[in-house]
Amino acid sequence: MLTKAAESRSTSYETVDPDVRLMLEVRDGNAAAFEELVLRYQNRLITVLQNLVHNRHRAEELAQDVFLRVFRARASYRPEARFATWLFTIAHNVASNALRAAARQHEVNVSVGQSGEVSAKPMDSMAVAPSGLMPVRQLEKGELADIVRQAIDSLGERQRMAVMLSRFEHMSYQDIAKTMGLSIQAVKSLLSRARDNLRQILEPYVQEGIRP
Amino acid sequence: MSDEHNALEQDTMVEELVSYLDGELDTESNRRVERRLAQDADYRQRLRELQRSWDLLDHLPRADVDHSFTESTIAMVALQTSDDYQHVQRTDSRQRRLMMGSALACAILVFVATFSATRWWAGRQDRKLLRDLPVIENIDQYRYAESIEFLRLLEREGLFVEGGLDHEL
Repeated sequence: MLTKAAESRSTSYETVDPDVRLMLEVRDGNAAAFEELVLRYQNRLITVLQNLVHNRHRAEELAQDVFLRVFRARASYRPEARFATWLFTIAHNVASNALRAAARQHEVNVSVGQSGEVSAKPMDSMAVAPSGLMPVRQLEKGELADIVRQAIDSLGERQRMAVMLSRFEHMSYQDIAKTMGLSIQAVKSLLSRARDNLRQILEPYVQEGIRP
Repeated sequence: MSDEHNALEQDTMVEELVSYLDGELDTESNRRVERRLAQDADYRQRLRELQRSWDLLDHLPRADVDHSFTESTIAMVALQTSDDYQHVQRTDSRQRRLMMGSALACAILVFVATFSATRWWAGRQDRKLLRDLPVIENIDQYRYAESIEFLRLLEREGLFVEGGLDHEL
């Protein structure tokens, strides 16, 4: 049974967020509404997941898993947040589980002396790469993307998630906190540390063109 | 101590600037940051660096999937949820069979218990008669006894065992 406050919150999200209205239609059995939600969010979801798991194919699999969970949860859906916040909360859980499983798998591989697939090159290996000493504006787009990706990969999982939600989803601290199950202050610290880390890694490159 | 203090000050400064760039400061804090930006060159420089590195994230790859991804997602969801439905149906059917089996077993158990209890109850009189048969058969002889003490004496001497009294008499 919903309280009056919860009912009022649900109504307000329904009013301001068209995606919440679509999800309510999915709840009522409208399959076309679900397809519309997939179309609206697939690229956004894969972009975030790809930068978390470093693998495009895996990101697509995880995105499909997220949509499946959304569909399975339709009957009990209550609009208690923006739809994107709800969707990325599921995505955060799915990605965290996948990363934990990958870490366990990696540990097993290391313990038996096999070399596991590590898609992200550590920053140390970048240091031995030939230094361009080239201003950033003259670098190839692909190289720049590679350097930024390396910088992102050097962040911890939570910092990376917060950065993705802030940069790509333009989420407020409050929504990021809700998505990641943290306090607003924790998100503030997390983003502050993440952005300072990125600055320290990327600034020498931006200033001098020296690859980190 | 001084290093720690400096580090803390740096952290606070970065946190403040990041919140400012993200539009997360209240009006008063916003004004305070802007006043300091106007006066402090290092503070301004740090803001620029943070903004510049943040803008570089635009170079990260963005997904742009085609319609086949949408179609395969919808198909996968339809297939999975259909499997879920069949699984639920199978589970329901199994549960129904289990419940019917349990109900049948209970009914048989109740029938057997009732039948046994009825038989036991009905045979109660016959069992009493059977137990008293030796006495009934010799009731005429027992009438000659003068008292219950005399009968107890006879019992102690083993005369009530089957055929005992006939033998004596």
